[in-house]
Amino acid sequence: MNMEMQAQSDSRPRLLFVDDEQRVLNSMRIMFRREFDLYLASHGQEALDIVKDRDIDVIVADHRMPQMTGVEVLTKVRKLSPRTVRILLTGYADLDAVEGSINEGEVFRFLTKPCPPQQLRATVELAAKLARSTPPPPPEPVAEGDEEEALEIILEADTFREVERRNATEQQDGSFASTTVLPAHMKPVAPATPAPATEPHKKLPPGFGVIVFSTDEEMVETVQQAVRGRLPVHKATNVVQVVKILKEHKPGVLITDISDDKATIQSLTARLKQHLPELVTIAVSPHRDVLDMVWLINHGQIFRFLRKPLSPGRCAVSLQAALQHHRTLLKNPELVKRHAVEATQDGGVVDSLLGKLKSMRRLWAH
Amino acid sequence: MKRIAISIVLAVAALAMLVSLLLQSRSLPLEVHLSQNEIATQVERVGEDFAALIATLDAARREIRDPGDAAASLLNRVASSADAMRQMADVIPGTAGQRDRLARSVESYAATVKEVEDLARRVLDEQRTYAQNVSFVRDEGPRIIQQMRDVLLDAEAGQVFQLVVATLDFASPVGTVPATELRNMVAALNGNEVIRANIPREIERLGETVLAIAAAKEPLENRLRELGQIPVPQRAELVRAAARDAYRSAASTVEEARLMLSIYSVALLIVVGFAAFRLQASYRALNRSHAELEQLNQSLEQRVAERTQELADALKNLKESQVQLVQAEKMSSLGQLVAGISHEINTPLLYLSNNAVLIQERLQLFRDFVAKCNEAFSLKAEEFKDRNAFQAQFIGALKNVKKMLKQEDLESCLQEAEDLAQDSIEGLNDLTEMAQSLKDFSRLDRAPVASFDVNQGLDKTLIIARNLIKHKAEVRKFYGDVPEIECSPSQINQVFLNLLTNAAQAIEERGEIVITTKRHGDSHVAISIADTGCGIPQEIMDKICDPFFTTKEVGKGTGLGLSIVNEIVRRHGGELKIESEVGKGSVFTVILPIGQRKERPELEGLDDAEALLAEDAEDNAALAEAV
Repeated sequence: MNMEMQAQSDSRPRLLFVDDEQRVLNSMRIMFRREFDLYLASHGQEALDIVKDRDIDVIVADHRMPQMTGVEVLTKVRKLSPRTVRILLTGYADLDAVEGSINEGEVFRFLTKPCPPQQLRATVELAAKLARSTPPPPPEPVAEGDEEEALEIILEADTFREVERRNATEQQDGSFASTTVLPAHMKPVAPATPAPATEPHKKLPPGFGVIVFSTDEEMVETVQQAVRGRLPVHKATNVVQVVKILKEHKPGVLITDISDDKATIQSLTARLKQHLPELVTIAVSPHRDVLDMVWLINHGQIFRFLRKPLSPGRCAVSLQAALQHHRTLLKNPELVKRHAVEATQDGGVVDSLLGKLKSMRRLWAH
Repeated sequence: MKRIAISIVLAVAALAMLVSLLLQSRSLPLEVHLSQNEIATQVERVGEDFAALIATLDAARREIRDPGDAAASLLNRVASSADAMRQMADVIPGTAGQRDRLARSVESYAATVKEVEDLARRVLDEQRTYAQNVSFVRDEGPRIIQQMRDVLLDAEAGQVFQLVVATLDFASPVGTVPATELRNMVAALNGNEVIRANIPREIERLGETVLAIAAAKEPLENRLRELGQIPVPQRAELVRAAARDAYRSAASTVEEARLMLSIYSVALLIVVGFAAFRLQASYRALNRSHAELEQLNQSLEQRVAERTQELADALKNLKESQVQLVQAEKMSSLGQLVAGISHEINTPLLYLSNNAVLIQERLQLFRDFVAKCNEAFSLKAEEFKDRNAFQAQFIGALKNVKKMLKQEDLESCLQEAEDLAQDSIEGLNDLTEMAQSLKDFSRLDRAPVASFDVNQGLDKTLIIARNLIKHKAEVRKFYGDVPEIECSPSQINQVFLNLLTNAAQAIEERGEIVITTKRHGDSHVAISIADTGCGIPQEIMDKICDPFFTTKEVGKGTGLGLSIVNEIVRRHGGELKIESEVGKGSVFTVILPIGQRKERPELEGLDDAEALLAEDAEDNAALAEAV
């Protein structure tokens, strides 16, 4: 396998198309056969067989297919071959498909038929480049699904111990001054509390913290319930606060409520991903708008999409995965490229605010 | 009942009492007053008369004369007064005792009067006789004396004279001559022969008269005294007193009765007033309760109206939500359909646009190639100075052509372009077919009722539903030679679509859908759609055509699909037959008449929702009642 990988590293990228329509495959074959080592499958199982045998760099799957949907195929591919960049290409984007492509398939792009050939080609080429140029993401250590266990694992195995250890050393130094683990009832909004003299990142590992960007108190409470006081939850109600909190507390996960000011928030999400690719975004919305979601995949690389009303369990599971993902990204900075987003138009205020954050990446990367 | 009886008895008693009091309080009749007065007058007059009688008799005695008619009439008046009293006393009312006393007094009075009458008559007679005797003596004496004198019997005449004088003296009230003397003198005369011899008769008569006078005077006086002592006025007074008492008592009884009547009247008035008050009160209470009742009634009516309104609203809401549900069902199936169709259209569009670009790229290659060829073959020898230069140039150009041929694999490019074009043409055909099918399916541009080729309709519907079916089932068609039927094509297409969708949904993994059409008898066509799906359990077989019955998960279907199918088929005068076996599959057979016997206006212009609602109108009414 290793030898094969070595051998193919110089060869053309391997591209797999899955579509039940032969004429699409025909077209794709003619389109990509020169630049790619092209594989074609007319249904999901065939595609999975190819993924098992060949180290596929990029898979492009149709959604509506007999027996196995595209999202199912991509979800299996994600487990089977994490390094394969996944793209969904579908003629009809139904809600379940889009939601599944985010939360289960963790797709790189969501393309809709008919897709302009230039865009298709560009996307596939970018995906191939990233697949080749970045190291493979580590296999997922924690299986998602068990809502109760999720937080225990992350908090006890990781954060909690680490935080305690650090605190212990600092207490010996006598320089410890402020709270470390914020209780749930404590006001999470940082600007209210004066920044302690000591650098906060020394007490909390950078990235351990959640910023909730929402005006919905109920949602903030649900997040606090989900973390059970073991992680600081910062609440922000506007962009300036978000930036301030990001600078002061370096949370690794952003939970953003896209129901309020959709345009600003979408823009913020997208720009944040451009400036701070390590920041993992969970989008929350009461309604599932296919276009919004597709936009957030392609421009914001949102990690999860959750529906309101938020349940603490679901939230905990997603947070767990998001924190893990964040840590993975921090440990492997090259992986960040895998979440490259499509360029967006100038964000104006958002951009100027975020300009200040560029230095932050250094803080994360301890 | 008892109370009413008591009330009636009480009312009758009160009335009787009133009548009795009225009778009692009636004024005494005039004659009573008159009688009473008359008795009083009578008593006085009797007193006067009696006194006058006594006085007359006394005077007569004293004057020694006949009392005369005056005394007799007085006596008569006194005597008659008893009867008059009796008559009048009868009239006087009064208590029994009083009347008895009155009667007794009257009787005693009458007895007294009788006594008076008897006595007075004797006195009258005796007085008359006495007076006659005295006047005889006074008149005859002198004559006799004269006679005797004539005969010269002077002595004897003197004797007679003495007798006459003595008698007259005796007879006078103040006479002092005793009776015995008279008798002696008479005896002396009678014994005188001379006298007797001369005038025996006269002397005898005189003697007898004197003797009568002598005998009569004292008894007469006694009798008169006795008469005067009879208590007529007292007796009369008693009568008057009794009458007065009786009268007064009667009058006082009337007065009492009147007082009683007044009191009773007042009491009765009070009772009646009280009753009236009570009546008024109960009337008011009645009025009030009536008003309350009225109000209650009104509020009841209002509530009924409100309830009715609520019910009507509920019914309206129900209808609206039913319409919405039907609409939702349509939207839901439409949504699935649109998703499928959208995919069916977008997929060709994807490769069509791709292919166009790819063909363009290839054409560009060929344009370059042709340009290069042109470069080679448009060289003209005469333009070159010498043959060698021309050859070198030509060969160079040919080399370019050859190089390109070698580089670009033009042949395969050509092949590719042809393939792409072929695919594109087929894709365009697909799209055209889809567009045509959509148009035919909806029939929006066609008459609502028309002749309809069932087989064609099935084919069009299959195209539309292809994306829903193709992942699930192979479709096998056994179309019979069936005539066109008269129907609403869009509705029948809807039936086909619903049945085909259901068949595809019944298949879990992969199966087969068999569509058969054939004639059914002379006048009908049968279309059956069989699937190899999960089948329908016997226990829900009866319910599957009910509106809102669904086995799909919440949100996946409204349960109206089959009910719409059933309704449309029913409206066409057709029949829907369902056979099913769990685990093996189901067969839905639609039997439709070839021609519509009569015009079915309901086939026109009505959409499914309305159709279903029209059907459910009765159910709605029943439901509203139940609510």
